[in-house]
Amino acid sequence: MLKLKELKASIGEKSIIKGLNLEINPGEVHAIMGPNGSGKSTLANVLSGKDGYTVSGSLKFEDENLQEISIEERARKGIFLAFQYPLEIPGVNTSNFLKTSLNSIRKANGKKELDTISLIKLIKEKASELNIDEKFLSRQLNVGFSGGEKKKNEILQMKLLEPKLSILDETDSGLDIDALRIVADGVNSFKNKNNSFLIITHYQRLLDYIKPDFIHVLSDGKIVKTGCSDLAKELEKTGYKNFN
Amino acid sequence: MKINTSKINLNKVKRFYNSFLENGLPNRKKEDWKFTDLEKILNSNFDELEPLREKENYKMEAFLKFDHYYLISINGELVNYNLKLSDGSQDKKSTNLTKISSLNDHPIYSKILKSDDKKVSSDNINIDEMLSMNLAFTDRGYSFQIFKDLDKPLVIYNFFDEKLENKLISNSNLISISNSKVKIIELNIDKSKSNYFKNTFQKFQINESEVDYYFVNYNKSNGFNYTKNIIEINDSKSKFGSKLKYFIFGSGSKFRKDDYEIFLDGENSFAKINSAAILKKSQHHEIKTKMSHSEPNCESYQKIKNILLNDSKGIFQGKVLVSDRAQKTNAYQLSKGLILDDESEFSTKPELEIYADDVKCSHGSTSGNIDKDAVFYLMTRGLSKKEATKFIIKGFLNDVVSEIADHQVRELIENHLEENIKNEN
Repeated sequence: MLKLKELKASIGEKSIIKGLNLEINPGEVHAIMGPNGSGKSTLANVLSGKDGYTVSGSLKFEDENLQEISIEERARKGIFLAFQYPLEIPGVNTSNFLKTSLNSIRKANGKKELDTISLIKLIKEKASELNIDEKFLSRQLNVGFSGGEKKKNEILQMKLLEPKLSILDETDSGLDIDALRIVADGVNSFKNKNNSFLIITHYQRLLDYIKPDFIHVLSDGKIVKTGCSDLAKELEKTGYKNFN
Repeated sequence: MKINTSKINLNKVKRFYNSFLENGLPNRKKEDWKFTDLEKILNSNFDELEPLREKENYKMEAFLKFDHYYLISINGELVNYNLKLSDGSQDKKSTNLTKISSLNDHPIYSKILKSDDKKVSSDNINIDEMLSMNLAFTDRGYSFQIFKDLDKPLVIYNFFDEKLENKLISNSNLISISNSKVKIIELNIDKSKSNYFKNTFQKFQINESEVDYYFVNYNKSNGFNYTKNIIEINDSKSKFGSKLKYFIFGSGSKFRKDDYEIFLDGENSFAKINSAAILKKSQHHEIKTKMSHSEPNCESYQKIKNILLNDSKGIFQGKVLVSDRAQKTNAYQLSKGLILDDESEFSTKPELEIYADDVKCSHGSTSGNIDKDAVFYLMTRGLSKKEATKFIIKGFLNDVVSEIADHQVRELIENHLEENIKNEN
């Protein structure tokens, strides 16, 4: 599904990702762990197409060259980024935003656009699975949401948009243990043999709930080690210092 | 720029005409015109202005879909109206409407006659260069009184026709509302294809009433508009307090300066001035307010929101004046500019002048560019850059729009703003 070969990314003179290779197949869950500044969030941004980076190497998503595809096209093709810090958009009604987002993705994929009634029904259904109060639908997008509410809102969007590849950028940060479990359950119930996940995290704790097939250690812009779930436990004990 | 007075009898208006000639047009040296050099702006757009004297006698029809009372003017001239109340009453005890057609009918002329002074003391109206100009050339307008609740909104249609090239329109209006609850929508429908200058004087008297007033500039025009609004909010008897909510949606005009002087003269009065505008294509819009609190326990709110692009200029000069009598005043002022490109600018000058000690007054002003991360966030959800920007723009203005209680009016405004957002960026 996703194939990265010798991916490099820099901002201005500063190179951040320095030759990264990664292949994610349908149905796989990959975790990327690494110290601060190792390039984890840059990887997420580059995959979703954020401006401001000079990118080289090969980035293929379902055999298409990602570098030729705009941000919104990537979303429509099935790449989803759950933000580490979801943006607050004042004055924009959450349900209105969800409606526009879902319908633009459905339309791009040749599906019928949903009317407001079936959409609200769908959103409410998904929201209740994540234990999100319905009232949030009439609030302004992420404005005044607690850290946990913002993260849950990201997972709600993921479940609504049904992406092929979900990139979760430190979704566990700022969550208490109950919220963490709800978010993890949300991911697990959405996981199937056709969709894949790239989970970016500092800590092992999220990986107690979402079992990755592979764990990669990212250090100084490169994957320096790949292993199975035991690697996370090892990192928890020894830290990242061995990889610097 | 010259004013062609060949068709005007200047005898009657000499005092004002001379005073206008003496002072000339205001320029940036005057504090009130610091951001809007009218002299320069008019000089670079007009060689000569000719006072409009043609009067239209054809009737225009009301066109908004919902049920409403109406008043129709063409180029400032009152031509048609329906103020016949649903209960059948149309006597002078419920509504009263007259046409203004010369200086004699001007809302403040009779008061000026009584005073030799440059100031009309009873009204706190200073006869400045713009008012002198208005008095010298005024020949049209309307004056109406409402003494009874209106069960439907009153729509004031101001049509401007195509043949206004280099014309000077000087009009004056008086709107007086007593013991009533009314909703008024003033719609500017401007068909003019060329430049003209309109200098309007408007006076509002609000007594023991609740007024929701919406000014909407309905389409794009090359008009240059200056409007002075004197708004007196009073309640001589009940002490219950009058309420005014005034919304300004001025998008579309090439040039506007809307000047508001609001006098909270009755205890417990309430005034709100809200504005939302999308300025583009070198448009220049200034809103200037002076909120005078002269009695205790009054509240005032001002919220000005501008979106700016394509070399446009937005200005807000807002002053809150609290007299020593006006204890327990609550005054709030906020202006925000969202600037979409490098060529546009938003200038603000908030001022507080407070002589009472037990008051709550605050003001704030920000301006900035669109948050690129917010655009990115929305785009990762499948929205195009254009859609994402539109969402953010609408969200920015929603702060004002969401305060429109009436859903019919809100729909009208949403369409108006939508029209102005369309095809941009």
